[in-house]
Amino acid sequence: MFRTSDIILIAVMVSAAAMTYKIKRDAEVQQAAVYKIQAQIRTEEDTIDLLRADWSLLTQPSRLQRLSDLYKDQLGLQTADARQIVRLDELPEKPPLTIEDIMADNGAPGVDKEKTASITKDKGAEKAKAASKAKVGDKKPAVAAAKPKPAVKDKLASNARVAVADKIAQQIEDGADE
Amino acid sequence: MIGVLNKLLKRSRRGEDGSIVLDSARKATGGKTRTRVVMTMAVFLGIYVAITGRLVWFGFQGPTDSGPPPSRVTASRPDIVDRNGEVLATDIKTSSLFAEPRHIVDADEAIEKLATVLPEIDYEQTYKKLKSGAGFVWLQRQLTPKQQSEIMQLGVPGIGFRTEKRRFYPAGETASYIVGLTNIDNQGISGMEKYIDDQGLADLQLSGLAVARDLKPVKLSIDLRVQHIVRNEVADAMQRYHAIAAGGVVLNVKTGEVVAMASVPDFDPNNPYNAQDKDRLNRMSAGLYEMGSTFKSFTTAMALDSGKVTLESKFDASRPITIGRQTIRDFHGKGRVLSVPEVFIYSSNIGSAKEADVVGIEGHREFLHRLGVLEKMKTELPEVAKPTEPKVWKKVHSITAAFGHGVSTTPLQTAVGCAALMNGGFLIEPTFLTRTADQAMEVAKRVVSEKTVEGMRYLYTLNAEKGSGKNARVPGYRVGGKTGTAEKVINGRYSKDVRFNAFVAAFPMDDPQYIVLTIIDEPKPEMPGRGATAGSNAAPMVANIIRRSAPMLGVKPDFGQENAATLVSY
Repeated sequence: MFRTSDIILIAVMVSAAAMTYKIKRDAEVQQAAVYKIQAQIRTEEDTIDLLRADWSLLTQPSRLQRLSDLYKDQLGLQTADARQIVRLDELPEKPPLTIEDIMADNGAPGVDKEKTASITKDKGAEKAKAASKAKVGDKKPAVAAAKPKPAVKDKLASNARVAVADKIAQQIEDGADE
Repeated sequence: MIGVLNKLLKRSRRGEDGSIVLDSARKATGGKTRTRVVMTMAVFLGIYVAITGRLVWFGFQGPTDSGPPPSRVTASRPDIVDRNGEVLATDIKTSSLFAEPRHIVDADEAIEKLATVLPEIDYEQTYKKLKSGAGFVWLQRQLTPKQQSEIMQLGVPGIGFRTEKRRFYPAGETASYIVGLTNIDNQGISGMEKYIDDQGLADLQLSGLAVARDLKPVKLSIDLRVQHIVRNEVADAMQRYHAIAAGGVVLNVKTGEVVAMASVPDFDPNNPYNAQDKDRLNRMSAGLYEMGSTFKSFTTAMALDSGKVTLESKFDASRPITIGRQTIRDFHGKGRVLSVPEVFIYSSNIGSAKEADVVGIEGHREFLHRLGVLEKMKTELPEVAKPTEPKVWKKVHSITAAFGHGVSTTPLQTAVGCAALMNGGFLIEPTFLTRTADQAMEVAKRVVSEKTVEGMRYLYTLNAEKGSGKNARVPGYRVGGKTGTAEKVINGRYSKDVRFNAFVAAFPMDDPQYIVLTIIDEPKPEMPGRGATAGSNAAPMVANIIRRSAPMLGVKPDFGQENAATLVSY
């Protein structure tokens, strides 16, 4: 009746048919997915168009002006005055930072407690501290710390850190020369 | 058919020929077989004929009236954006909901479900619609995509969507005259929309190649923020001064770009029911006016450019000029000899007429044409009016043209002409598309000398310091300008009370970047007792526009040069 080769061929045929069916089916599923995604993309694109239109509608200057007029009490917005606009180079110059300022800063409270402790023995430094403390209330610690520098300067000169600072300053200058 | 019958007959004949077995077999069935076969065939034939006939009948029958009306093919248009990319016009897809009542299974259920997405739906009316038995009814036009997908989720049978493309203008009336309008077929009919069509989009749409994705946005020179300010200020001014119309333009003098241009009354492009009204006209480019004293800028520039007049020249303005039946007087008469700067800041008609006289009639005409003030302007906007001038120029024409009467031009052209007097002497055609200063220089024409420009800058500054333009000053922005109060012709005579006012300003005067020109048609005094000259309405409009828009235009305030004009001795 059936020879082995027949059976094998039948098996091959059946499996080929099954595979063809499966591939076709899978392709259909994939195709459906592609259509779905394409439809999604179209919807998204349309939505993006719409949202862009919506966005420009919401950010219309005329609408913003109406809103700012309406909520004037809460927002307190005003037309910018020409005097409020300045260029960077028109800003008042900051006093140049000198090494003495940095040192005085170190003398200021809460900057570097461990190191300051060694200076507090120094009379001048104590003065500086007191002066800067008094000025902290004015919310100008940097300027305040810089102020007592002429009085303190000589006494602090003995401090080792000045030497280090000088060295750094020297290095910076050298660097600038190069 | 006949062949088959013949075959049957043949077979019977063959039987008679002598095939006994077969003959006997036939006899066994009594010869009925043949009849049966023929009958069966007839039955089948009948069935098929009936089916074919029915099909043919269906074929001739028109389709039943269900489903939406045929879709209108709306062509895509490119977006229009301002110079910063803000959308001024765009296509949006909207979908409209329709129902086919014949396919609706349960109208009550359908309405209840729809009401969850469209709360504002009218129960009774919709119910009537769905029960009407019509083939097709609209339920709701222009849904958002969100509503659409929600309705789809409901799964109500017998309803569907039709998408329609619609042109949408987010800026509304703010830039209505510049952007323009499209008709129902999405073709541009006015403004830049029409310009885009004329540039080849119409052909592209006809050939069906206008695919939304391939169309690049068209970038205009308009700055939406400044445009809003100008529109806002002119609309306010129209109301404040009870005028019949007002307008304003901001022009970049170095590139010729129109940064903002507004004219009121205008219309809402999203609902342009009144766009065809008589008073809906872009007055800045399509309105012709006798510009009045702003023309004295041109007269003075012409006199200076001719070389026959310097800033030190003097003209006798003590007596009115009489020519024919007309007498030329000064509005703010000084009754003495005036220098050129005085003629300018006191806006002396007599002085200006004498300045024009120095150049001569033909020279005057030629100069105005050279500045393009009397030529039809070439720009992208289709709505451009052609200026009018006397056919033959006589002395009286030259005299009246010296102070801006007897010749009509558009406010935009006046601004362009003034830009040439401020930017170093180059006439640059205005554009509504972006352009760099280098590109502008390629199309620029030198019309006046550098020295004339210097003199004009000085006169503009001086006029804002001491003359009629005081109200246009804005601290920090060095504004200079010239007023123009023209009397309008009513019933063939110049009227004393009906005026057309304009103010042309440039800023910052140390290196002018922008020209701002405002017009106001038939203004009344803000309050009784106040004046209604250009200095009291058109000039403050300019000041407000500059104050609000200068930071956006990138002009840096500078208080150091506030008194520059007074420092220059004169």
